Amino acid sequence: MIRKEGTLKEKSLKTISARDLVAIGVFAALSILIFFVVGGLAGLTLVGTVANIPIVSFFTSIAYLLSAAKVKKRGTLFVMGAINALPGLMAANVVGVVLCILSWAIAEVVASVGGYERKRTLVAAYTVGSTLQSAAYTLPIYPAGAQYLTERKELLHLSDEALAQYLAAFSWPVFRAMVALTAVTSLLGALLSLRLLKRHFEKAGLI
Amino acid sequence: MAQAENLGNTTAMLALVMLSYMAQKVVPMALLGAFFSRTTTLPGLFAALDAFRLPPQVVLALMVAARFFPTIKKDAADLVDSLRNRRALRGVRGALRRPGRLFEYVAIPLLMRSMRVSDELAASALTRGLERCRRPTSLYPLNLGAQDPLVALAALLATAGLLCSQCLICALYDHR
Repeated sequence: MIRKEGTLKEKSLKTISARDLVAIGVFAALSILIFFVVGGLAGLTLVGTVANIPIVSFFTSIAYLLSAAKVKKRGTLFVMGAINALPGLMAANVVGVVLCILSWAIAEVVASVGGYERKRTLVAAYTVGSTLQSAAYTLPIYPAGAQYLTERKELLHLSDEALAQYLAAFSWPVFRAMVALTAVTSLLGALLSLRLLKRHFEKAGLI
Repeated sequence: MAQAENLGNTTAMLALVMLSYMAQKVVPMALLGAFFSRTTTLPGLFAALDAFRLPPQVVLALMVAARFFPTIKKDAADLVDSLRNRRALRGVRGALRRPGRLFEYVAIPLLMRSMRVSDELAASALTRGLERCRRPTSLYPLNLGAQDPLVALAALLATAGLLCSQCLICALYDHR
C-alpha cells in the first residue's frame, strides 16, 4: 500500500496536470506581454530591431524560470516555449515558429536531465532554448530579407552601393553575432532572475 | 517614393526599407488578428482547436494565456496607480533612469499576483471538473457546412490571384 502511494506520488510529480497547465498559461501570458512591451520599445531603433530577440530573452527569463520553479514537471519549458513562439506567426514566419517549437523541445530535454530540481540545469535549459530559438526564428528571415531588397532595388531607387550596404544588415556574420548575443543575454537574464526568485519568492515561501 | 529617393544612401533610408519590410510582413497578420479577435470567442476557439485534435495540454495553456491578458492589463494599471499615489513612480524619465527599480516595483508584484491568480484559476477550473473527462462536451459543435467549401474556394482563388499579380509585377521589372 505504501509502495502504491509512493508510485502515485511519483507519477503525480512527473505528469503535468490541469493545475500546472493553468499556471503555465498564466506565466506564458506574462512572458508574451514582456515580449510585446520590451520588443516593441526596442523595435523603435534600428539596433533594437536587429537585436530584438537577444534583448527580449534577457527579460522573459524570469517568467520561464518562475514557471519551471513553481510547476517542476516535465513539459513545462516546452509548453511555455511553444506558446511564446506563436506570436511569431504575426510575421508570417511559419517555418521559424515550427523551428522555435523544436528548439524548446531540445531545451526541455536539457531541463529534464536535472529533473527540474537543479537550478543550474534550468538556467542551462533556458539559455539553450533561447539561443536556438533566436537562430531558428531568424534563419528564414535573413535570406528572405536579402531577396526582398534585391527584388525591390529599382522600386526603392537603391544604387548598387546602397544595396550592398543594406544587404550587410542581413549578412550571416550579423546572424551569428545575434545568436551569440542571445546566448549571453539569456544566460545573464536567467542568472539575474534566479537571484530575484531567491530574494523575493523563495524567502516568501512561494516556490 | 520621390522623398525616399532624396534620402539617398543613408541610415534613414535603411530604416525606411526595414520598416517597409516589417510592415509588409506584419500588417496582413495584424489585420487578420483584428478580424479574428472581433469575431471569435474563446470557447469557440477552444472548440476549433479541439476539433483540430491539437494536444490538450497546449490548448488549455493557450486558452488560459489568452484569457489572462485583460487581467494582467487591469492589475498593471492598478499597480501603476498605486505606485504613483505613493510617489514611487516619478514619470517616464524617472523610470528610465532606474529601470532596475522599475522592474522590481512593477514586475515582481505582478509575478506574485499572477502566482496567486493561477492557483485560484486552477481551483476554479478543477471545481468545474476540468480533469474529470478527456473530451468535454462542447457548446460549439463545429462541422463543415454548405458555405465552407465556397469560402475555401474564394480564399484559394484570392491567393492564386495574388500569386499571379506578383509574378506579373516581377516579369514587368525583368522586362524593363
